[in-house]
Amino acid sequence: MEKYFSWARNMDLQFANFFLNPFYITAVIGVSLASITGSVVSHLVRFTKTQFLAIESLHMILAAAATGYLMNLFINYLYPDITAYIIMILFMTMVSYMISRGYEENMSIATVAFLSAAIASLASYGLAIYSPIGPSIIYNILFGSPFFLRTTDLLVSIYMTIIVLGAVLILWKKILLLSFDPEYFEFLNGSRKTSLYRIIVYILIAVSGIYLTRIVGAVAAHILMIAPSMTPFIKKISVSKSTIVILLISLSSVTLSVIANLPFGGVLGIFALIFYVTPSMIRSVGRH
Amino acid sequence: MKAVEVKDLNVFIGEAHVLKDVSFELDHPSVLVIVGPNGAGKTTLLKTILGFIKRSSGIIKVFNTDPEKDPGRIRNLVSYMPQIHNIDPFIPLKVREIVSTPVFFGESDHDLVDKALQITGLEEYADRYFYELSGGLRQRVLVARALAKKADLLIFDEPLSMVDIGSREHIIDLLMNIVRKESISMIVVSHDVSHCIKYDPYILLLNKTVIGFGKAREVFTLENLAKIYGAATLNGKIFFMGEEHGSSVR
Repeated sequence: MEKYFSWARNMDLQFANFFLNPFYITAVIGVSLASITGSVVSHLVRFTKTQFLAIESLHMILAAAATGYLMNLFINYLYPDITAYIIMILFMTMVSYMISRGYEENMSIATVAFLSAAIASLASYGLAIYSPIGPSIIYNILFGSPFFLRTTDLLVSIYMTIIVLGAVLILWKKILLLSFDPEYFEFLNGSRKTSLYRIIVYILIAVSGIYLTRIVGAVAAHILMIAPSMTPFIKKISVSKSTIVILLISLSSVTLSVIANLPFGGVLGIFALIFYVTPSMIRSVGRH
Repeated sequence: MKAVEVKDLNVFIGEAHVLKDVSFELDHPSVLVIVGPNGAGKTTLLKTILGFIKRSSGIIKVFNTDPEKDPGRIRNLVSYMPQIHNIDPFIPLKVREIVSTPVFFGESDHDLVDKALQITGLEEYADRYFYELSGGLRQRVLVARALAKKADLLIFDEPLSMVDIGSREHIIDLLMNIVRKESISMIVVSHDVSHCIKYDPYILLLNKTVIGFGKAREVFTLENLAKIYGAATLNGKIFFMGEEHGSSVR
């Protein structure tokens, strides 16, 4: 009996060590905040039909983040994240300006994607040459490291979550009405106000993209910005339910990535495939 | 007093000359039904009247106001129902929330919303999500939303599309009763005028330019119908050719 209890006590200690590990706690907090923001933003993306923007924003995120770090090398007081936010907002403003001037969405996003791809490549190259840790910074931007977030990163995450969620909460009804019937919305609000709301939505997506990249990396940020609004196992569109689902999936991914010693983005991608895509595929096979 | 005055209106969208020298006047209060084939410029005409689309030349006045110069006054005077095809039905909004849109933007009050829900028979669906409703009920929600805003001129862009034949008559009767009771004017774009005819509205036959304007018996001539739809045959009283969504023969 004594033996059994000591074994159990050891197991308890192992679990306690595992769950109270500061790296694990940091990742849990960071990924939870990112999942909540990602879920809300993914609904924003779905309702406003800006999937093209969310998907194509990889170049922009990489360009903005790499340029932010590069500029920090030469001008110390330029905080990389702030520069990245500003550059990302400029990209998104450019997209929305082109669309408002009558260019097709594809044309607008392609123009900005080409520009940002060029900047991303040049900035990454510059980082690799001028910074001794350049390649690891680029790896970090792409794949993230939620286990190695600093306290300041977590604080920034909390502020950003509050800002993004606060803005979405204030504008939620307007965003729904704009997405439901853009023409009627324009009729009641005028074209300038309607364009302004569209730009705000684009900027919210842009800012969230950079913030999520900071926590989980650009690759996983894409999953968080798109997957939660897919509803294969939720019958009706529900932001709260899909937030709980992505939260559970993300936290499971954090845990499994520690246990299996795999990158968080990879595990999250596999989970997303299992939980979001497979049910839809099974259903479509069933229909045929 | 004129509800709408349009003179020598020309609209280009890109290279396309969508409206050519369109002119007509609508007294207040009265009802105008705009008829024409797909691509005739019906919706463009409505959007130009509302100030959404800028005209290339010509004059438009809505209650003596130029919609391009004073869009705010147009918003106060007009209520509008766009085509249902532009709507995303899967946005999670309830019927009451949709009908209350003008209240949300300070253009109406809750009493009008309740009245609109009541006269369109949507009271029992008020707490249902839009995506749960059938096509006909969805159309009625949009009609109710237009009615929930105070206006002197109602503009409806194809209010009868997706509505079954029985409900079409009901919706037109409903609109005509409101128009008469409240002494307001109404412009309706519709492929199916059969339900409107009994109310003797003005008809604008449009095919990029005005083919005919006036009362139905003056406008629906074989010559005009041939100009609009390419061919028309006399068979009984009036023969109507529509490429619609359910053409109608009377």
